[in-house]
Amino acid sequence: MHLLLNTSTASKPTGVSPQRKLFRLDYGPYAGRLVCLYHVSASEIAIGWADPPYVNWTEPVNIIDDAADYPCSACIDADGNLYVVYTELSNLDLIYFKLAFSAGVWVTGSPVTVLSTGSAYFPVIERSDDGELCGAFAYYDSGQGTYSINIKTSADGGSTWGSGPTDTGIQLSDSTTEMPFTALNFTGPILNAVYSQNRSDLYLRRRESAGENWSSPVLLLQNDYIDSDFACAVSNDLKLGIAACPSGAGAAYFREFDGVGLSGLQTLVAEAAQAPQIFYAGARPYVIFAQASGNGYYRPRFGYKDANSFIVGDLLDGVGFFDAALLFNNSAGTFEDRTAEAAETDPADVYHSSSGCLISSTGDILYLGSEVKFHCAAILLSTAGVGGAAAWEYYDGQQWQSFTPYSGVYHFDAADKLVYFWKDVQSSPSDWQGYPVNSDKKFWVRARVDGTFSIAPVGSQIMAIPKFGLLAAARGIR
Amino acid sequence: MNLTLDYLRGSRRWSVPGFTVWGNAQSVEVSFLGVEAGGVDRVVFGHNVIGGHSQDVKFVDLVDSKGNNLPEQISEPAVILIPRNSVPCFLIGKPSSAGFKIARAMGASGASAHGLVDLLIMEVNPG
Repeated sequence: MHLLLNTSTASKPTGVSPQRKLFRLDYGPYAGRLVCLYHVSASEIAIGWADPPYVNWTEPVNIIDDAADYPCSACIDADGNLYVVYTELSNLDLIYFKLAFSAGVWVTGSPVTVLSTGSAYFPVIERSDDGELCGAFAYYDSGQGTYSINIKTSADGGSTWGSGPTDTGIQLSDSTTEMPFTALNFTGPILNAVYSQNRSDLYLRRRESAGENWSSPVLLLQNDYIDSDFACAVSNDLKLGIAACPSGAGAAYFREFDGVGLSGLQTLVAEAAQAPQIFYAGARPYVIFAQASGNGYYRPRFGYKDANSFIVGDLLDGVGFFDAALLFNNSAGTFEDRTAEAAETDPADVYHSSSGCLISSTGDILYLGSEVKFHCAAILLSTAGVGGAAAWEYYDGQQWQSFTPYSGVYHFDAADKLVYFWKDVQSSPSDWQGYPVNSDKKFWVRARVDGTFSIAPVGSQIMAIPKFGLLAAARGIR
Repeated sequence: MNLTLDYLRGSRRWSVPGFTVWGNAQSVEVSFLGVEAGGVDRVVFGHNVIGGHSQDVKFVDLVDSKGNNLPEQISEPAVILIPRNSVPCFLIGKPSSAGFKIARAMGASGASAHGLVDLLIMEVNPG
């Protein structure tokens, strides 16, 4: 399922990888319900939820209107209560509040200032089994001009944090001039803080029991540049799994910490990736991430561990490379298959040999096909078209139906265009049917030339992939 | 419901007895939020079943109760599983016009036990 929930003007609507925004209720009469938090604008945070099969989401309700344009994070307890931390707009203070779950709805509690000294960014929050709240954040010391990962705790349900708002908490990382990021996880009673430092070093520190005694840092990964592209989760046998996508490495990695030592570093995928999320089903780790597909477009992928390697696949039906890209030249009366060329990034290789162009004259047709319904096409052209017109059509079981793309008309006149045919995969036409084109039955969208181009477009890459990023996987209670 | 109408429209049905299900259900449901970047970012919800060793079945590879192969393509097929042993089996995702994915649940019946089902396949909308 692929469903548009909302649009957002915030810088990072669903937060960075270590933060948490989507939660699943595991118990009670609302078991299975998903609830999410996200920034709908720079200053507004909204909540929405849905019950299985998650087709109908509630209208988002704004619960915060004084947030800075830095993402919030939350955690959930067994009763469905949410505990939220965010950066406040005017002073960049760190604020906490509880969303109490009662009779199927969440009620916003009173805000509490966690930190009023310096400024706090990219906070995360975790809750222990006995109710201790732990909030970690990137603390900026304006006097020193440095950042560090600091942590504060509350033993009274969030009323007081440390010794008060001016207490900057326990510093976990070194002070550096680069923004650090952190993730918190409990393995049993042990609190684990994984954090990036100087962009490229990823460390783990552990607190064995409530208090201020933290272990020395353990280097988990060193690679250019990790920044916020890492995530952690805990297996049912209390291993801490870590996934990271250093942008300079052009790869995604996984390793585990079993409480004593680290597993070897495993390569999840040897291609550029971002926005990892990790979760366990029993003892098996699953990682979802956005994999580079060329020209700045990313597709959502998954990987799961099978023996000593990872099996990787597309995460969403209908979001990926096209199963077929055919060009029909009307004057020659022939089809040419450019499926492989459409998936690759090589420039100027998606054309019909009769015209040397993608489409050119009236009656020429570009067919984009998939085994399943899809909602968009990223169209990269080496030569943008001039003067022509294309009619977009799908097959409804009786005939080709003309439609205007959801994102507006497009006549191959922009060299880099993401054309949304429909709002999302879920809302693609119900009467759209598979149909044999050139003896190949698929779900097709076609662009038929009904106005000859003076300069005809030449294609480089065409794929059913938007610019995916900032993933947030659903979390149940630990 | 309307047998006469179905008959006139030519809807087709096939029964495939004794189908063995070996695909396993070491798969999980994943739900996630994502952002599709653009002029205005789009917040999207995704949900899918991932992992496991799903068993990909093509209609053309099946033989019905009369000994005939099913067609290569079935328009808007519905696939109904009739269990013939105690291993729970289910479809993964929606059948396509060419086939479907099927798996067995792992659990009380034993990890190595295969599922056994009869398949009832119907062409819902022959067009």
